[in-house]
Amino acid sequence: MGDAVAPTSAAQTLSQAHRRLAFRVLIIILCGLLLAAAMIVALGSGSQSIPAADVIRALTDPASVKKSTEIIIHQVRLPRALVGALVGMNLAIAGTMLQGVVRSPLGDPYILGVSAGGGLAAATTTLLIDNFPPEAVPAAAFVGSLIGALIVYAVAWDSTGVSTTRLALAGVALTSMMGAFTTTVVVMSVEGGGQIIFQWLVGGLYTAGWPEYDLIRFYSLAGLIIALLLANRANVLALGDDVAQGLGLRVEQTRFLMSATAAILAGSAVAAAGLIAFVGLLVPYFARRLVGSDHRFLIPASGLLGAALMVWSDTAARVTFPHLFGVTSIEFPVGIITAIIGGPLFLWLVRARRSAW
Amino acid sequence: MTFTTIVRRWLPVLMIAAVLMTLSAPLVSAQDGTEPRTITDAMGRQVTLDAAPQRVVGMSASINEMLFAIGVTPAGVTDGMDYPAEAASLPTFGSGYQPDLEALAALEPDLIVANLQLNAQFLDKLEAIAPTIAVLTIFPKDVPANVRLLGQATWRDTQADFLATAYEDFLTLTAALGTGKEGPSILIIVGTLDVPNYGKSETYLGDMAKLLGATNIADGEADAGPFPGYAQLSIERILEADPDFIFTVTRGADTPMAETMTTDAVWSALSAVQNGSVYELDGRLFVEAPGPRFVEAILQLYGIFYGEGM
Repeated sequence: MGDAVAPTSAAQTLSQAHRRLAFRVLIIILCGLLLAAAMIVALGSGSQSIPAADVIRALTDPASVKKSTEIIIHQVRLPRALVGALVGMNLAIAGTMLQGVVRSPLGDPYILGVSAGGGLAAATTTLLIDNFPPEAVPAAAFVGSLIGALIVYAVAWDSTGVSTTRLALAGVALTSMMGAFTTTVVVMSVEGGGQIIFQWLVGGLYTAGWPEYDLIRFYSLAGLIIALLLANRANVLALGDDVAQGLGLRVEQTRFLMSATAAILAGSAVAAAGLIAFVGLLVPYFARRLVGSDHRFLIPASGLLGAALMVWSDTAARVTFPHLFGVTSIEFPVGIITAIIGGPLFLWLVRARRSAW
Repeated sequence: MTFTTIVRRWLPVLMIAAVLMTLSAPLVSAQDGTEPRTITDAMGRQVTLDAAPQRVVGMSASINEMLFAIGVTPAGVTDGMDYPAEAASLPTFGSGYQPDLEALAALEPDLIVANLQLNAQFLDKLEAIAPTIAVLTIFPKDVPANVRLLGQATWRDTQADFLATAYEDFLTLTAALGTGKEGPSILIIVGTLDVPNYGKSETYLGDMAKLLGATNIADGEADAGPFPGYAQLSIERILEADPDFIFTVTRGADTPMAETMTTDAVWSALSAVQNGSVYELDGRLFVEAPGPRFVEAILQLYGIFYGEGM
């Protein structure tokens, strides 16, 4: 009897594992489809109504459509959608990394002051330094983000680790400080014009074009690859410092690498699209509910979901909301949309999971 | 292979090539009457235009007025442009600082004239739609220079030259009128009394007043606020300087500042308010659209300063 039972349960466990794996892969594919749908809707939406057939022809056979249609699709909508997707992916994966580092759902580049550090660096280099090469701005933003992350971590850490409360406080303090410095930089450099800098500070894809795409894609790719390479180590780190160390993981080095990856991703996102809130907070939260905490699945799922969220939000910002409010002549910055969705959700999170904080 | 063999082999090919090249030469050098031009814009960018543009779009009222002045009707204008009357019926594409790029592309322009102050951040997006030249118009003296540039870019050099010369002569005359005169002291306020921006001589209106011999009590202060040429002044400073004239351009409030001043305890202490020398000026004419109508603006200022002689 004993012999008859054992092989069956091992087989059952194996098939359960296979089912879980299949389910997770399926979820990731669905996230990919969500992103594809977002891109399609983004390409088809805008102030000029272009029939779907024309949109497709503009992509496949540009010579067959009106010049203005070709320009709108290729130069206005397509690069904007691509940059939006990359920014969303960057912020979501940065959030995943940071949540792994601080072992708290509050790991988000905006809350932890990582974005603010990148924003200050980007503003300083762009506005105060003459002839600073635009290609180097994401690198500067990366350095700023890294410094921001290190400051927050150093302030919030003690021998018992990092408590969520300390993290939140340090993050708030740093974001306020960096934000004040950034505003100072902006005010000091007058030629930008108040309106445009405001757009950038709230987070907007209005100026996103092929140059921004070229700027960000290298950093996005690098960040994604490094994050995936760190996935196994991140899984071990999640078990707790003592256990991880016991398993042979170099804990501090892993934490530093994960923070640096988050800084690259968040910094380049800020350089391309300004400060956008809550993506890094919410997307990993939902991704975890869908595919679990295994970073090998969590990172791709977060990336795809984040990209999809950003593209949907941008379409809402530039088309839906203006129509809703009857002010079709202006465009809402996408940062406002993510804040509208993310803010209440975050508040709900704080309330619903209050025992964990 | 010997030399002669090579030549014999390749000679027919070379001869055919030579014939083709001479035949195509007329095709290459024959133009349709207009030679391409390279324009150097306000940022020093070199923009090449192949032929006279047929659909020109200006990114601000100032630029569109200059286009109208040289006889070019823009293919589209920014929101709210109501002068000249023709402009009100042209297609629009949003504001100058955040234009709807899709609407702009839908107009199919072949030349975009951008405002350097407003559009510097997204010149590359405008370039993607059509060749773009950037101009900067701050002072009246910029108008003839930009009119000439626009004339060059639209193949209307002669019209532009006539006009620019007339503008320059008018400015010379104005300066002559202003020199040697004991000019009044002025204060320029743009905005509201709660959020005032005091214009210095480095603004459009300030420069016109300076040409006419006026002194500006805000001169010498540091730039403050989002736009260059505007300063912050304390109310004590204004009371101490007690300007002869106050020019207001109210933006962001329903009641003109000239009116609210009369009922305000502090502002009504100024002699300008008591003498009725506070003038609410048309914002488009005096601040927002530096352009060909500076002639009208200067005439109005002269009338205010030195009597109804004009």
